[in-house]
Amino acid sequence: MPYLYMRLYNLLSIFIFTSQAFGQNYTQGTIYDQNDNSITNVKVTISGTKNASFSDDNGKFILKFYNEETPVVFTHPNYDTLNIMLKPSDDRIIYLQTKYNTNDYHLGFMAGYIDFSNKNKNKNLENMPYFLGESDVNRQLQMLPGIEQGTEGYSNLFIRGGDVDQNLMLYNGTPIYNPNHLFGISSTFHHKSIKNTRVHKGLSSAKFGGRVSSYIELESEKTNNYSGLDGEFEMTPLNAGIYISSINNGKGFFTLAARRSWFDLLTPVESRQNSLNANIYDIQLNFGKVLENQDEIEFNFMNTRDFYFISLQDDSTQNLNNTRISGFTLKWSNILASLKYKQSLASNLNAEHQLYYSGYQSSTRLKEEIFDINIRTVPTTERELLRGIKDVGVKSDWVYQRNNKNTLQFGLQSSTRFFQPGRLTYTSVGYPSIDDINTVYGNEKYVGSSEIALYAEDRLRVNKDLVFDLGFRQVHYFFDGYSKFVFEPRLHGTYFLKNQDVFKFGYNRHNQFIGQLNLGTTGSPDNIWVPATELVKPRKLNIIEVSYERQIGKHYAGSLNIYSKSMQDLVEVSNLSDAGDPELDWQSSVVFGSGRSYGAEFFFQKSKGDVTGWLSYAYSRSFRDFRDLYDDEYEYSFDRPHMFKFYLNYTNPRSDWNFGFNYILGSGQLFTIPIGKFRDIDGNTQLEYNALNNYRSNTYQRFDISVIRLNNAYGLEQEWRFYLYNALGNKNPLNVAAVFDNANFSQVQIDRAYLAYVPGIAYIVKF
Amino acid sequence: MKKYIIVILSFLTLGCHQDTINPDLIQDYREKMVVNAVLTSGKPVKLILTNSLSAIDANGFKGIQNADIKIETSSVPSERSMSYVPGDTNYVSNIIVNAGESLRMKIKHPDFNSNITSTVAFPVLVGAFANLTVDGGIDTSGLPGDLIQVTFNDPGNQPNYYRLKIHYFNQTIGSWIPLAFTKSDPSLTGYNSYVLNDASVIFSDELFNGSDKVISTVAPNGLVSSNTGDKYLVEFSHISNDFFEYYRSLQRAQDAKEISFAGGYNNAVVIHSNITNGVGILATQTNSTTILK
Repeated sequence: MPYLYMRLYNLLSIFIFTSQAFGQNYTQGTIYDQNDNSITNVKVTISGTKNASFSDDNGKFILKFYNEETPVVFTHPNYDTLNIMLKPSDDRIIYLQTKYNTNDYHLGFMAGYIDFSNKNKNKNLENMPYFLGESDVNRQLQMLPGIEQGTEGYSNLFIRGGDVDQNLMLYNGTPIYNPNHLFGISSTFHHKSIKNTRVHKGLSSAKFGGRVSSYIELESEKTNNYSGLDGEFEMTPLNAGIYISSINNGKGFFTLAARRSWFDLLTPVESRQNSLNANIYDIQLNFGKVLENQDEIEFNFMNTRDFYFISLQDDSTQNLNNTRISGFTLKWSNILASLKYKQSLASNLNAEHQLYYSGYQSSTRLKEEIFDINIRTVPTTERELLRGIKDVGVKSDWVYQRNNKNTLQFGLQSSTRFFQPGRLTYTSVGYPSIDDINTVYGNEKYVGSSEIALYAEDRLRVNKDLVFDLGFRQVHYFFDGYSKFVFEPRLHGTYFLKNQDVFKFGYNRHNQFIGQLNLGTTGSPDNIWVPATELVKPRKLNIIEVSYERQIGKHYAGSLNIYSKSMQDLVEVSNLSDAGDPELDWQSSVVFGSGRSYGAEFFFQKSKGDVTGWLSYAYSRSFRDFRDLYDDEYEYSFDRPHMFKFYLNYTNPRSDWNFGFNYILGSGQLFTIPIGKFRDIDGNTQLEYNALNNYRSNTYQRFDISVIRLNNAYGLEQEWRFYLYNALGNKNPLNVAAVFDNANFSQVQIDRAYLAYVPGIAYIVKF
Repeated sequence: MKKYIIVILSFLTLGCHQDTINPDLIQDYREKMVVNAVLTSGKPVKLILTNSLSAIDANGFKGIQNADIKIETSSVPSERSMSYVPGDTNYVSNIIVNAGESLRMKIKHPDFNSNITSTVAFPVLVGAFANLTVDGGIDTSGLPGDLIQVTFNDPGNQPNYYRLKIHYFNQTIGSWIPLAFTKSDPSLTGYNSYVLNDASVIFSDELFNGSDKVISTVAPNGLVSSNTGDKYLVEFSHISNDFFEYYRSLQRAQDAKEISFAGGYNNAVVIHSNITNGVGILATQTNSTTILK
């Protein structure tokens, strides 16, 4: 079947190039305000005619016309009208002057979309309070409505009742399969390596697919207000980091971000090698160049690693001639690399092609060595468990402006994934009377799956107020004889109202052909990526969403989103130990169910002035129905009906002191605790759970503070950042668990762990 | 260098705290009646009543006396009482329910506000029988072993559940010993069959619904080769869905106990129950027992 897609794709290409030969003249460009923010919905008209076009969500416009040089008028209610002469095939950057104190909130993009450069801009996120002082893009997202951290203190993202593995996180277009350091406490991204974060919380264009919760695009810095070399050095309790950027606007860019933990370096090398060691690092390297023909080429690379080692010496036998040393090593790493080529084939036809590789691997190794004076060899046994995933992808995304009313996006995307759910290697060497052993259990090799998607979407501007995005995504999936075609409609409407407000609505279907078995803790490296199979069907999502957005006064903006999601063929692990056993088929340890979520998200923000920030309230519910786990529908683990979030920052360019505050008030987290106990039919004591997730902990309340002290010494800008997490000391549980004195549960105690008054500090030097 | 590590670890753990809570959910817990019974078609009805306790209660369980238990069956639709056996926690009745019939139970007790009820059906006969072929198979060591085959007719158009338990006769001690069942049949997959701690296997007919089915297993080489009389005892039961779900949840709870870390609700297993206003199980089965010589 992939051949069918290739043929379709070729036909489309032929059609487009043929149409090009007969095409008329086009002029194009991008429209910005004086702060380099793109402006959407600007009317671009050939003066004195009805030939008009509108700028898109990114401020880009393309206008078809016939004369050699034409007067063009740019009009928008919030900006001064601009009249200029444009030539055919021009590619211009147009700046519009904001009318005095006009509200420049960006009304564009689909319902449920949010980012930090257009929709929620100028919030000085570097001043946000961060856990332990680690600036973290995930913690920025956690402050948005509909996005929750899950377990207290963690850097995970649970979006509108979805699981973590249902988010597709793309770093410069490449998926990353474990974006966690420290078991989920910190993300793997140096905050400076992310220039903009874009989140599609449910609805998305047909270009995105393969996940049923969200798509998160992380884009590194590629342009700047000025060309030149820039950088900073950062020191936190966990890491030392450096960021270097060399931006040559219009010609190319180079950025390098790297962090490494430093406290292990204080210990002697011998100690690190023989007794205790722990370190993490990540590196992100991006390079781009504009070619002579104005095409662009871009290379991105990312590598992360967590490493933990502990060694114990057992000399309990009191026999100094015989010593056993056991070493336990745990490590996991990501490697991402991608090559992009952006080409402009004609003024109304652009393409972006990407080839990427993303690999994630975790390993646990237990090694025991015996040092015996009576044995000439060192008898050694080693047990190593490897898990991982490799993804090789190709994308070719095209944009074709058919006329002033229709813009067509289409493309072909392929992802070939190789899964290693568990490979256990056992070796034993050097024992005097036993032959050496080298045995492999579980899956000896990676097993492959293929996912190919063909998509197309037309942006149809019906009139100046009404825009439809009508698209589809057709996906073919193949794994081990299991073949599946799915069709995903992507429908969205945008209606610009009269009072600088907008109404949006949409419906999407998404399928997910990959999932992660959660073996106890979200973000843990033990969790296993697995493919959809004949038995474990792809997850499905249907979502509808409506939203209303409005510019309020001159400084504020507000939005209200209402959504409803239904999810089918969800997977939960029913037996943690069996699911993690590489010798057993993981499919035997999972159960299947469905879920539903609905909610309303209110968002109010201020983007201008020294004091900026936002407040939000989300009412959201999420449920799961796994009849093999419980006889009835139950509340999802991270269901939090009420969540109020407030982020405020004070950044005064004339002051040496800046401040940031986070305040969150909402429903407590759900846990499952035993309420009673009883004797079963065999006479054993069993715990009684009246339901899953039956205990909602106390009201969640958290107040975080950051204080930033700016300093200038030796010609270098310096910053001291001080943080306090949960400054009010509210007992927000990290975990609530029943602790038993023995297997008969004769004494049970409910313990609660929580994080309070967690300090953080960071020192930054900019150059 | 140690002091640096201590300083850093102290810094990181400064904000971690722990306390003990007593949630209302547990404080307000009210004792429930626990009903436990495996009812076999063709045999008298017998059950055990005990109480449940709050999770943090250190007391032991008590048998419940003075319960007013009424049962009626589809063949005799009039309420009849069960009687308490002193010194034991058993309630017995001389009522016999046959395969394919149903039973309704209602319990009243002054210590429990609501009536405790349950309605169950007894599975139908499936014409099960067992065969033995001496040294007819290959055991897990690759040696010849006795092949034991159980044949039955699975009723179609409905989910059915079964339990198979095989014993071998130990002539030395003169008693039946459970034989560990090896799941080699392709229709007994990980998700529809469970080997219980008593060495029996429970399974559903999901992969052979409506067919004549033969389940085979091979005993270890030479296990009963010296036996002069009885060799194997095959207990095959057509069990109710509640029976299957109950034992499956017990097995999952047993597995979860072995995991020491907190895994959300993955290691909190709700034990299946078909008792309204109480907990426990009224499991039903229709048995056939064969002794293979």
